[in-house]
Amino acid sequence: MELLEYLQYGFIQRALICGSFIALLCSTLGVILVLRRFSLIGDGLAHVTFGSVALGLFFRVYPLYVSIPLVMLCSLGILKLTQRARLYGDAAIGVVSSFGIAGGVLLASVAGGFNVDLFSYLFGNILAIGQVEMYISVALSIVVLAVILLFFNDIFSMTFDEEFARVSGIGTERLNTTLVLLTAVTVVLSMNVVGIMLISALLILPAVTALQLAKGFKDAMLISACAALASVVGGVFISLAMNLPTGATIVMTNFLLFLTAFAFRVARQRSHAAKS
Amino acid sequence: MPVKIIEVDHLHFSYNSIPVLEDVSFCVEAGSFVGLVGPNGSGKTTLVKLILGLATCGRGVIRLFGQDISDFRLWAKVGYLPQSLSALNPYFPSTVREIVALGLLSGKRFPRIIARSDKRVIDGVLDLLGITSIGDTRVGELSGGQQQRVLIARAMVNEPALLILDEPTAALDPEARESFFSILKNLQEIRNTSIILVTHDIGSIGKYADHLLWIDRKLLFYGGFDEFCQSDRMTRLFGADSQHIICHRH
Repeated sequence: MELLEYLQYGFIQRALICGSFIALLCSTLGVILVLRRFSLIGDGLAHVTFGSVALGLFFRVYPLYVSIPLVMLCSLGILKLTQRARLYGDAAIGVVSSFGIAGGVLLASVAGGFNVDLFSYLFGNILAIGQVEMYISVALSIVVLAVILLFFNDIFSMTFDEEFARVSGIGTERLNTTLVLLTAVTVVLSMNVVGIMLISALLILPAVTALQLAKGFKDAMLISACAALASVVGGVFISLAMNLPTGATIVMTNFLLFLTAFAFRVARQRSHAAKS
Repeated sequence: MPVKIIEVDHLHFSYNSIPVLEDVSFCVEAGSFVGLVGPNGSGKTTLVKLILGLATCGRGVIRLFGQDISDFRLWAKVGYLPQSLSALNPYFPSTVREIVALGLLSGKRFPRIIARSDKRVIDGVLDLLGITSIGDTRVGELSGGQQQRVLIARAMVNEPALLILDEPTAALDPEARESFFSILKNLQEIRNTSIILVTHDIGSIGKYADHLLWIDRKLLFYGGFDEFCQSDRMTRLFGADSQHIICHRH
């Protein structure tokens, strides 16, 4: 079958639309998180998502409805632990992350019977996204992207130098809270695209790819967004053509883009050094 | 009557129950150039952070432009250069122009957008500090001295009425330092900018600042240079050598 013929199928269209929006979300937020050295929050919140999915399945509630509020709450928990409990960010993420995964395993063990469902969330299936899930994902993505766009310069200033941002009258505490809440929503939405196990890859890889090439902050956001979009669209088609798991293929495409960007930067540096 | 820009009244601050500042009181008038000096760990940076509301004072009152620091919102009037240049992430993707533009945000309302018309203002400050040629360079690729000038440009671009600079000359070579001090002196004289400059460079400060604020947990001296240089109490406190180093260029 020709690759373009796949586009006539509704499930492929939904996968591409939903995946593209989530790619944009992850890539823009990812740049901010990586530069603030907070990128592992994606991993931590993904583990909490595992617990919350288990909770949803346990009570027979649609997991997305349980995951969004619960993961948002835990993201605030990470922030408060960092600010109040004298913990570094990575330790706070570790505390909340282990709580999430242990909770999920305990619930799965107590309930039994939904292990198969739970594992499908662990590895995700972008091709199985339903219409309702797509509408929720697109709507929430638009909200998150709008917030990032409206506060773009505030976020840039705070990411570069939080102290200076405060003296510029930017409410950094409120902005930090907003950012972790947006990250929580993004992580839950990404669950369907690459699965809980690989969410942090979608946040980190496009961002670090962009950091190899970008000169300015806006460039970094744009390159990161392009890399993420290319990996989702490319990953979906490659997985269809080669009959591979889509989530893992998206992540591997991302990784290859990172390697290419890294090689390009090294080559450019060597060429500059040779010229001078 | 001179306008009071900063009023600090009976300020106390402790960190983990260890007193850092004790009963500090002073006031800075509009157009003053104050050199804030003291040994390492004397509380200079803490005092600056308290004045800017970056830390909350234990006891005492701080007023900026007549407003209590907890209610202060007129950030466009304040320019700030933090001390921690070493904390600057060398891999951060940002050009010199992008970083300098951040200094304009305090004067903007939500959503704080850098307009095309701001380019002229940014170009002006880059020119003033002699860094126009590196305007489109990534900040992480610059030398320490150039990065310092970029951050100084960010603090100055909004033409603030009060400029607080924490160790601004630490990474500058002697020539750049002299040129930087002349720019500050011009700002003070032409725009009546009030300047607080935290420094270890007690040899140079006397040449430019008109007031000296010496702290070592407590306020040891605050006043004009003539007063400092003629004070026997200061000679007894700091020793004739230190007093001479500060006073010989004034």
